[in-house]
Amino acid sequence: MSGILRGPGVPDPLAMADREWIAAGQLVTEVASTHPLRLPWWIAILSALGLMGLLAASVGWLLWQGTGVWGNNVPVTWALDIVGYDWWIGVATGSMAVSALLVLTGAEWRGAVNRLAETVALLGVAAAGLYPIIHLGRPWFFYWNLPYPNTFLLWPQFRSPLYWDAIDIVSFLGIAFLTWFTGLIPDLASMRDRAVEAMQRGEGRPGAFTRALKAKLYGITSLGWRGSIVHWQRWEHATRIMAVFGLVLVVSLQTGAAVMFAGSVEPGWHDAMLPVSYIAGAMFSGVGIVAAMLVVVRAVFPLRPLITPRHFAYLAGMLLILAVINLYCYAASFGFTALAGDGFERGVLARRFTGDHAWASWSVIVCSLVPPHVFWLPVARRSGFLLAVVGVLVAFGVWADHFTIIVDTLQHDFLPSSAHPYAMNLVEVATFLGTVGLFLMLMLLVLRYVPVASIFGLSRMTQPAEGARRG
Amino acid sequence: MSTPPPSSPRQWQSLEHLADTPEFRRFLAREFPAVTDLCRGPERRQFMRLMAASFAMAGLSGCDSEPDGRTHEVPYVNNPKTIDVGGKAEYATAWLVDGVANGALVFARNGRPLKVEGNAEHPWSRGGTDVFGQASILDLYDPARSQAPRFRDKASSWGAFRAATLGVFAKLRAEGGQGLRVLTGPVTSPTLIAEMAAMQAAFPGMVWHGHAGVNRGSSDAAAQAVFGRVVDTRWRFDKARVIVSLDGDVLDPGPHQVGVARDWAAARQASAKAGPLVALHAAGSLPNLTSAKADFPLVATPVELDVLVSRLLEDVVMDTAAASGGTPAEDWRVRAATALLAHKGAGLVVAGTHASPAVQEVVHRINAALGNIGTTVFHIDPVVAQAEPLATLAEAMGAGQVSALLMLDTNPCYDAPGGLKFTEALAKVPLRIHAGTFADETAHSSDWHLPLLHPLEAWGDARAWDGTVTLMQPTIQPLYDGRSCIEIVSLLVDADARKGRDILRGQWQGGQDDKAFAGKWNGMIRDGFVPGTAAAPVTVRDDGSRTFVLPWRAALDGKVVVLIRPDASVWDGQAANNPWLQELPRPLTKIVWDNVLTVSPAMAQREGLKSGDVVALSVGSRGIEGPVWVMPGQADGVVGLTLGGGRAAAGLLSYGVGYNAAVLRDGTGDPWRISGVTLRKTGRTVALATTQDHDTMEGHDFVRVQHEGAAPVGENTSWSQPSLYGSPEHNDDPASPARDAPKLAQWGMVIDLDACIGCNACVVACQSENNIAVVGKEQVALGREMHWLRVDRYYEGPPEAPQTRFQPLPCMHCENAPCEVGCPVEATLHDSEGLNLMVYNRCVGTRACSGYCPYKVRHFNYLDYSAGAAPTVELQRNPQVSVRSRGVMEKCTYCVQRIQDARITADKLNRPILDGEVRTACQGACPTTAITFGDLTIPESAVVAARGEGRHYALLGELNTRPRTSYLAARAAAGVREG
Repeated sequence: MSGILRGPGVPDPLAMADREWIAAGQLVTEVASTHPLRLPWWIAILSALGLMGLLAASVGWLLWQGTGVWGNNVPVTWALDIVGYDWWIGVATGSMAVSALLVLTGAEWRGAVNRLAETVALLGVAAAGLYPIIHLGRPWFFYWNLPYPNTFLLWPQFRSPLYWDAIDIVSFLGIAFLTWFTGLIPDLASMRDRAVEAMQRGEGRPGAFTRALKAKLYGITSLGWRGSIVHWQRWEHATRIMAVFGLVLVVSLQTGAAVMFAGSVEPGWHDAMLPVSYIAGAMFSGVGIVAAMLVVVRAVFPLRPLITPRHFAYLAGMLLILAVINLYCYAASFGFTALAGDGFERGVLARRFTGDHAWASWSVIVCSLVPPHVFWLPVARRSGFLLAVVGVLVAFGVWADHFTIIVDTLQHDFLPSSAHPYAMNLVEVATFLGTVGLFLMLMLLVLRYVPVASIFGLSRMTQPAEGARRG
Repeated sequence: MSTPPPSSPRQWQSLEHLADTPEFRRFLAREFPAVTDLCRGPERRQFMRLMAASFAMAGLSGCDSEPDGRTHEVPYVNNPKTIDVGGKAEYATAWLVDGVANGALVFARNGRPLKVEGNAEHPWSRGGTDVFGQASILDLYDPARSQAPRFRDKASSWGAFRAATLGVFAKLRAEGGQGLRVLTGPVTSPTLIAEMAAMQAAFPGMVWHGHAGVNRGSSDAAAQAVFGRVVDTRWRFDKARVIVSLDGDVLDPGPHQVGVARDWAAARQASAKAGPLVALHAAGSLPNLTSAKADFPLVATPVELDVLVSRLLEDVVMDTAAASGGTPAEDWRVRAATALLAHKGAGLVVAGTHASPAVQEVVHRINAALGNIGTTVFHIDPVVAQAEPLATLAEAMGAGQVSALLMLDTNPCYDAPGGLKFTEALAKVPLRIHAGTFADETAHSSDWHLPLLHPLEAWGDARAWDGTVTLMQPTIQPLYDGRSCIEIVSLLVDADARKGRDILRGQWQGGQDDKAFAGKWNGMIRDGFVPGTAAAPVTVRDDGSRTFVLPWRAALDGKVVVLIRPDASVWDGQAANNPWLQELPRPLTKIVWDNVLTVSPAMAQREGLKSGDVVALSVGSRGIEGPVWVMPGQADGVVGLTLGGGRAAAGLLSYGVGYNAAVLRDGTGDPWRISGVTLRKTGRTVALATTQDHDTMEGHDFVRVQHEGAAPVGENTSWSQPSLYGSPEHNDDPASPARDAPKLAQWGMVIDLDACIGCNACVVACQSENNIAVVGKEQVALGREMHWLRVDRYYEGPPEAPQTRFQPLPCMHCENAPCEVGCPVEATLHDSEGLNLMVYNRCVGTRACSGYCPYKVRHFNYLDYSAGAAPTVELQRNPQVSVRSRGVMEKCTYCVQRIQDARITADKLNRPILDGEVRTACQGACPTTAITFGDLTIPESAVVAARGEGRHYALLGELNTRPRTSYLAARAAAGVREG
């Protein structure tokens, strides 16, 4: 099982001398245990903290005053809040899908990518999870969306796509965390071993308490991992089961989010194609963000041996495939509406491309559907810079797609009399930037304290336990 | 516990009467000095104390064991017998528009008047209302109301006023009243007129002047010119076969609207049944509700209109319609003339109050020539008392001939024509006394300002448009230390100032025996009007001797013509302090919190103007600035202005809203048409807040039009579309268990778009009934207005001369409600009677329901709009309807509280709810009875009958939402081009 991404006859570019691999493994643990990038890391985390401050200020103001501090209105009851939410869960589920697919297909090069993808999934859903709470008119009652026993004998409304979305996102958060954490256990055990070594070496010297604490923390989180064959076997199973769950949730969360729109009668929303487009879009933005993060991590951390242009090429290839799939979805929904849609649907379609938010629709095409086609060129596929740029562009394009779907329909649906323009305001933008800050800060903390690539995954490549299959 | 006086009547008469106990007298004496403290803005606790005292009266005064027994507010242990706690009381009274009454029933709960309804028994208004009546309840509770007398802008008292003026008036009386002038608004009150006559007798040299922003001088002048005397013109729509409006305003807001619109709608309905439809032809320079409802509207410039009017007269006199010149105006004239000539004696030609005297003269002559006078048109003695004009007062003041001026319920410093320089002239008057409900512009320029009682807390009378004497009684003990106009005149004239009730009763008792009159008086007060007092027609004849000259001069030399109209919401500015009215979308522009300068689309293009551009208009030394609004259906070359903006008295809500059009008036010429005005662009732009940004139906048929003789445009297919789920109320399967279930009402509403004139009375009624918050201009601009019921306005056809359509849009109460699917917490759900309910305290504010609603009738409390209201404003709130907090969705409930009220009544009587027993607020308010509401399971109910009409259709029925609110298509007379 050499992975779908490695055809026969292709020389294995990921094969390195064992020596290099061991060095790489050390490298990864070095990052987590010795923090070699003090200054850039601090600069980055301070910027992220700045954005977090923005988040705190804007959300604080929002909670104090009400959702009226945003530009939402009637008819545009959902705007950047749900755009942000949909986009973040799209990124999260897309990354989750990447990770799960790589696990299930046994792509051996995944080690450097998976950890990052899983982290993006976890942190993306954390950023997304903020919105369904803060966007409520009465956020302090957010738990009414969930089924919990209460003296009123009241339950959520089980027909509502919003209820199932709440269930999805809670489940997804659980699975994303477990996937991430399960993958981390062997690495945490290595960290523990190193920490224990360090603690023992440094006994009696200053800093002993911190070293002991570190060892204890890694000890607790590694859940008594001893690396026995039974552990490995169960771990392997667990990882795969998680991946299956993850994939199921990717589909359920994205279709669920799409049904929040498709389940209505609104023109431009009431569309059986929408769930498919949502999954395709989510994968697209997920791969885009993972690719961009990978390039950044490679540039910032001394991980060049681990993250190679070959990885870039794989991700670029995925982006290219997804660009084609998304183009199909986009063209199909355009075509169906233009040819078979009723007047209201055609009206929404026309306003998407000519209305006051036409920039969003054109951004979808210019930023997400077109740029990945540069990867038809093999040279381009191996360029980290191009990959990062295209990845970010794609993610923005998908954001714009959510924007145009949500805002353009609401702004002018059936009755022209109820149409009312919507304009983003600073607080909404600040809230969204704040969620980016939240994501970045958590990401920086993870990069600092957790091995950025799977040490086990790396070592497995050097000591092929499944060598027979590799041959 | 003291008992109420033994004579305590079952039928409510007067609060003082009820409370005439020694305890209450003591309480009043102690409490009243404190009233002046309220001038600093009522502090809640103190205010509630006063209010509680006012309501409870005898009841609470009985608890008065401590020096101040009201320190702790406690609920009643024993209910005072005079107040039915939680129960509803209703008082027949009236609201006034420019002094003219419409009959009202004011509903009160726990002593607080809460809602104005039409008095169905009133011979003129017949249960209809208008925006002014609906909104008047909020004025009562306006915290900005004047609360105590003021002397030179400092708090004073009635005692001080009496002391200060006693000598002056004694001296004036000795001098025969020389130098004394009285200025009032339009007066129809027989009691006040009698008092003025008495005052005139006591002060023979006194001169009584009348002034109104909405001046009826043009109509009076036209009648004088044609008939040789001033008469009011009234119409019999029921006898008309064709209606031609020349610059008319029959359906527009004003003192006449309620009854006239009712007559028009009834005539139209009757004629549609009997056929053919009585068509409305309307020509005018500015679009209004009358032209909006016309089958044949014509946009004509003032010049064209003058030509058209005189040619129409020629046609009528020559008894044949001259051949059309091929222009739209000519075609219109030929059509109208042909119709009029075909229905001699059954035609009706009307002109508006604002039409030029010459046009109104010609209209009188056309009616006379057609033999319409005496059949469709008749005349009555003027309802408004005739008084000297304002111009002569200004002149006399300027000349120093006025030594004392009493201004009763009028605000000339705001709305006097700019050319009169009234405020400057007023400064020369040694004693200036002003009485008004607000400390307004005139109050600040006067020596004395006296607070007037609100009409809902005073005794009084007034005539309705048809002359019916309408009586007004207090619905609450006065909130502040005010007096009514009749009491103030009594204070100045009588040796002993009399109470309002005594003055009114005395007026109507006349010489009758006190005992015999008591019963009659009770009846009059209960009914709210004096039966049989409608004015009798007077015979007038056009002597035909006078030749008239149409005033128009075509030479414009780059100047524009300004046409001034009253504002559809704030009228001439009297109502400008009412937030409901300020936030009420004007029927055609849908603008709130502003008045604009309307220009035609062609003029906008020519002058490079767009909506929101600020321009300056000036004529002579007078000028105003205001934002332009491009108005479809407006004649080219004219600028349309509305009154009511530019209030300048600080402290009022209306301060700084809009411009004051009265400034441009010269005070002597036509108050409605000012020519030779220079328009200059200022280069500035302001943001205007509107509630509707799109004017067309975009090719859809949201408002359907039933052309006379065409196949029915309605359909009922939207009720028979297949559904995956059975719905019990529409289950026709006899085997279904639902068949045997107890019969439940199924509520439905049908709105007749032919009858709807877009007047907005329903919108304000809904706001008043359902505690709907006012959000302010900025929030409306953001798209967050809260009106549960909106009236959509669409244009069809070219912007220069469109057809206008109105469509009131409450919640549709869809049987397959898309909103209900969205809500994750089931805060919006269906009940067994087909109501789409909104459970406010379950709502978490996901707003999914609004996004899913195809009609967008839901409104969201983005901010805490209802919080922070003045305590007085809180008193107006309907205790049966929750006040919604921040973060909660709200929408039309079909006035579910009224359904519950009816159910309680029906259950008590052990009978089902009868058809027509539940009347929604919007339905009750509608002057044209366009709204039908009721139980769909009663086969003979009005709503079922309406649903069976060929014009019946569902809005967006193709979505299979199965709306319970549905529509009857607008009608179009034969000959109207099908769009």
